[in-house]
Amino acid sequence: MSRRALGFIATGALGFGLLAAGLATNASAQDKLVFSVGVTQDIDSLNVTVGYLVIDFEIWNLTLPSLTDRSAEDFSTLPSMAESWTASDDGLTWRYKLREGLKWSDGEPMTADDVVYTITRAVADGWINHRSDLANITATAIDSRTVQVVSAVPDPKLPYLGSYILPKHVYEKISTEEMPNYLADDNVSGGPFQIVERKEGEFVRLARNPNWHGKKPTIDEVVFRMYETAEAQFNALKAGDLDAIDDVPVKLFASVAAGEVENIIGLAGNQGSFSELAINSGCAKGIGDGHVALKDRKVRQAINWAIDRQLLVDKILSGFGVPAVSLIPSANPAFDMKISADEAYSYDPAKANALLDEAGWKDSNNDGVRDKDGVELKLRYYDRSTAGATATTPFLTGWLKDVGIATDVKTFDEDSLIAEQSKSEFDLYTWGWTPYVDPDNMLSYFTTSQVPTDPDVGGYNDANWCNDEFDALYLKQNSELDPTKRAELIQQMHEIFFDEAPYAVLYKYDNLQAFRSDRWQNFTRQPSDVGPVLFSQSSPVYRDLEPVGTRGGSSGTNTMIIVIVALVVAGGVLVALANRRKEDPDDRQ
Amino acid sequence: MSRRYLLKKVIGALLTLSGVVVFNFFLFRIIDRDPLAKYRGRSKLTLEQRETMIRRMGLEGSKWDQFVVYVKSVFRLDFGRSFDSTQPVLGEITARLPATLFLVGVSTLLTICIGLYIGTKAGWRRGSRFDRTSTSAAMVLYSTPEFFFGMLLLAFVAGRTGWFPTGGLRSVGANYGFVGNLLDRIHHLVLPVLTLTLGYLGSYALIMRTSMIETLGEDYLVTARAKGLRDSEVMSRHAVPNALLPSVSLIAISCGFVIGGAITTETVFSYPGLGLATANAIRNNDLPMLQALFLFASAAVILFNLVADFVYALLDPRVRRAE
Amino acid sequence: MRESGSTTVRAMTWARRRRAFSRVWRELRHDRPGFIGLLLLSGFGLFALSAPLIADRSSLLAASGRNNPDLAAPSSKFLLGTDEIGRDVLAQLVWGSRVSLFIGLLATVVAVVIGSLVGLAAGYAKGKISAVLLAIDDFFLVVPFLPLAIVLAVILGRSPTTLAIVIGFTSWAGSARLIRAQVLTLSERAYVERARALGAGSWHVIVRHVLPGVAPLIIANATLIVPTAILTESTLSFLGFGDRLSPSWGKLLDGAQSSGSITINAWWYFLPPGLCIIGIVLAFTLLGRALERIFDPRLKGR
Repeated sequence: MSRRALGFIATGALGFGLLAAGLATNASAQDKLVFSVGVTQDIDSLNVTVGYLVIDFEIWNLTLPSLTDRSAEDFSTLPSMAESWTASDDGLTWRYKLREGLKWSDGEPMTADDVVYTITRAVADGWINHRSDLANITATAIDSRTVQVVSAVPDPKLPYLGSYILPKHVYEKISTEEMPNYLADDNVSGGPFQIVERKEGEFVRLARNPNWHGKKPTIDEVVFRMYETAEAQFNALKAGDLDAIDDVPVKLFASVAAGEVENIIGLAGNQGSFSELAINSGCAKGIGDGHVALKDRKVRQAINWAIDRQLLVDKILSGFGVPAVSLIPSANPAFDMKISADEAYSYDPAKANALLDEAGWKDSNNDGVRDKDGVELKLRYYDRSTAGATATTPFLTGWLKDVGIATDVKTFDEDSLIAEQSKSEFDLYTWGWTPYVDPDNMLSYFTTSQVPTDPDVGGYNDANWCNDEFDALYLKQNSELDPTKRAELIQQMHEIFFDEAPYAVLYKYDNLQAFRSDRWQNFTRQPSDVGPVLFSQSSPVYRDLEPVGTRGGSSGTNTMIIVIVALVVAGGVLVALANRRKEDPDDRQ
Repeated sequence: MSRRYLLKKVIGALLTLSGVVVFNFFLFRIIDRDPLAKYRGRSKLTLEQRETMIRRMGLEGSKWDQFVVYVKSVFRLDFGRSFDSTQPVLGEITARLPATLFLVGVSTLLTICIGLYIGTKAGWRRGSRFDRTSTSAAMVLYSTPEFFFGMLLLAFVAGRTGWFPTGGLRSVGANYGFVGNLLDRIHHLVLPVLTLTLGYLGSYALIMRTSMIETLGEDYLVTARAKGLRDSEVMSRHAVPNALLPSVSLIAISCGFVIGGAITTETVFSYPGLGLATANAIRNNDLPMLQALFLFASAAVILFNLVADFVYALLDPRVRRAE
Repeated sequence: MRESGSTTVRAMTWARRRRAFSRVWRELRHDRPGFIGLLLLSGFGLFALSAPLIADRSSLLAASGRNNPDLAAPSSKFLLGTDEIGRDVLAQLVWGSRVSLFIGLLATVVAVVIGSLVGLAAGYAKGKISAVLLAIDDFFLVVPFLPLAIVLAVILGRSPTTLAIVIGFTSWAGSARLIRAQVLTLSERAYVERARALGAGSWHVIVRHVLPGVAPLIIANATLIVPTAILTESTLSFLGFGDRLSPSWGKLLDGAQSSGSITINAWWYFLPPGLCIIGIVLAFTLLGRALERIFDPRLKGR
């Protein structure tokens, strides 16, 4: 008995000691305004020459400067490092004047040298996130605050130049050989925030950069926390551990949008992200082994007619998206294909069957699969192992089967899938894109020059499709400075793409994000009203966020008390158990 | 005698470990995975760069050459660079090791203590109401996948009440001092530990119960009880120590299953340990990482079994004499 | 006499087996946990067999939820509601029982065949062969089971059949160990020694004398492998390494989890597959332990 009492007293004392210690240290931690974002995607690499995931871009947007910025309202070009710019008469030469007194977060001056160094090296080393913007560009420093940029062809994107500028004094120490393995852990920032702590697979913490030249953000810190499942992430938001999350599962988002979850709002933002089924059209030279049937445009069209896009939108997206039939080349919907509903691909298995018959693929041996000259119409279907991509697969394979096309589904991680694509050794595969603001990039991916010819180099044209007319139109729009004429050229490219059907574009989907509306306001969208808040093109929201009332951010005080109480209880139970065990045998007698 | 027994066990363990090393090499060479997939189409590597990287990864020459390179590097604890993060594998593993040790250690300790307590008591009072209730409960626990517990705890405890975090290892950007940080870690550990403990409690309790019943059937115990020794004395002096013996090795074997449990539990609670690293390495086909993780996990189980053999020998004089 | 001697022997053998079977049946009927297990198992068996009566196979197709509401609560039309794309949960549950049972049973067959062969050989052979087999067995006992199963599943593909083979291939080591021990005890029994002394070959001794002796143990052991295999399949599916196109219970749980149905409290979606997994594992475990008790008198009262 006395032993038990002693145990309880000891546990209790320990508990209260810990409680006091916990509370005392807890108070000081709550002074900062922290905005915590949950993400289900781990950072791929913070190295801007290697990384390629949206989470990487979000962090670069916060930490790397660029000559110009985009407005949150409509993507129009804004000054950033450059305060002004002038063009030569032919529109090929641009002079950017940098702000005075620019500094990196480590205090080093940020000058024209940094800009020229970055552009020159990016072009020479072919950095993936720079090369398309800078393809035709050379830069020279006129003086420490003036950069001259020369474009080899008229470029409709200029004067916007959003390529990330890197600190020369850091990157000149890293050789081209070492670059792919560089961790970018220098933490030198030229953006509104700087990285102060990172635990791989756990979180990244960024604090305000005191040397940032633009508008001073209200929040002190931004934290990105990695979650393995969307469910855990959503519950963390609900419980108040997070302030914002991305990638909300559609059904959860629907319940948030219906106002069923207290203190949480859902914002569905669109920036032209779309999903597609790529069809190996067999244009890769010297490599690849795509199915012979897919070289025939009619077969590719048949695949497009076999798919019920509206059902995919209803079931997989719960309506947070729209069916699409051609590339979405830009975050700006003005560049989408213009097509009437009765011309566009719709769910028409009869038409698909007719086209396949016409192309000579018939089920001559009655095994449910079409064939021609002894070759079965059985396609390798490569699926991406990320959660969202897989939802469409059972639908698509079912519909293909309905029109006599058999599929053999194999699942790959993204890197391996890209490797298969670089070899052109596939028939169908699922993928998706999020376009830039200017349509040029997305259109360039489907030119002949982007068809992989060497598995070691790869290429963006993941349908292995080529068309001379499309190539010619691409070059035309690339140097067309009149917006109306450019839009017409792009519409012609859409029509070719639609008719040739190297893709079965499925739908354009919204980014589903949810926020603690009881703590924060000013959820800036880009572009305004329709765009996403998180993971937008230039991430303006972090500069605009304001707390609701006096204090925003997640708190942990009451949970701390609970864990301590739980500990005390657990300790008590253990002590009690230990004592009971001593007494038990006697009880029996 | 006893030295010979131990030596035999150590040699056996080393043999198994080398078996794992060899198996490991071949298992991961079967996977047709492009080691440079990460860089493909992203950075313009020259042919020389490509060759250097392949050489550094030990993927050059005949299978036999590769095997020699591989064995050498295993001895140097050099597992190359992760395909995914491009960083040295050993560093990635040691960074995540404490989290998993903490999780698995605490829950194994809890499971063993509670499991032993319930198991011995149930076995001692076989047929009693306590036995019937606890055995049924243990059977149900045993039959439930641990991730199912995890899913329910996550949504119904963490999500609804907010008492515990739904994931992670610690609060970010907060420094509560040494004690506070420790509490913060414990706070994050409660649900994962609960999940893993519930998941394995059933089998430990059942193992212990069986072993207790078997021990109670032994002649010397029957004699001891018949001689009129007090029950409590028989239980604590004779029955429990002897019943512990067979469960030592069974628990050692089940250690391999706990590794599996760590994979699912860490996934449910986004707990960044080796289990989650394993799941992600498989998902990303990150062969160097996977290979090393696999080797470490096997080595841990082998070591655990060896320790169990030693403990067994220490506890049971019969083993020493028999060998 | 028209009957030849061998037929008589065979008839006697059959009679003996019948007696043994009815003894097991009698004891099982009086073993409460075991009998409950058997009842539960028959229930699941009937459930799996009745699949075509309960729902048409076509209601498994992704597009079959076309006109149904998503994540709808149970109603007279959908007794267990619908999933996130409007498919009937009951249909998936009942057809999924076939997938889960198929994987569990096939994996067990694979494990038992490998385990018995290795165990018999290791127990019966002496010297080097036995040592090598034991080393292999040791190896499979310590290799972490789940990662190995996942790696193999990823390499070999994810169809239910390959999954079953992979699971079986990774879970035979324990049975081999058990069977070897049993063979060692049996080999020293008088009748086996006598048979050997009478000049019977190894094969004859194994098939005629040793195998019948260990068979009960193999059966009991197999009954205990099935639940492990089913649990492993559900774990693989939950982690996203299962077959995405077959509606196993593990796949259903995964779907429930990733669509957020637990948070929305769509209990009709995540509870049934969870409870079914618990139920079938419980059934096999109860039955297996009862069989162990019956076949091995030392374990009486467990």
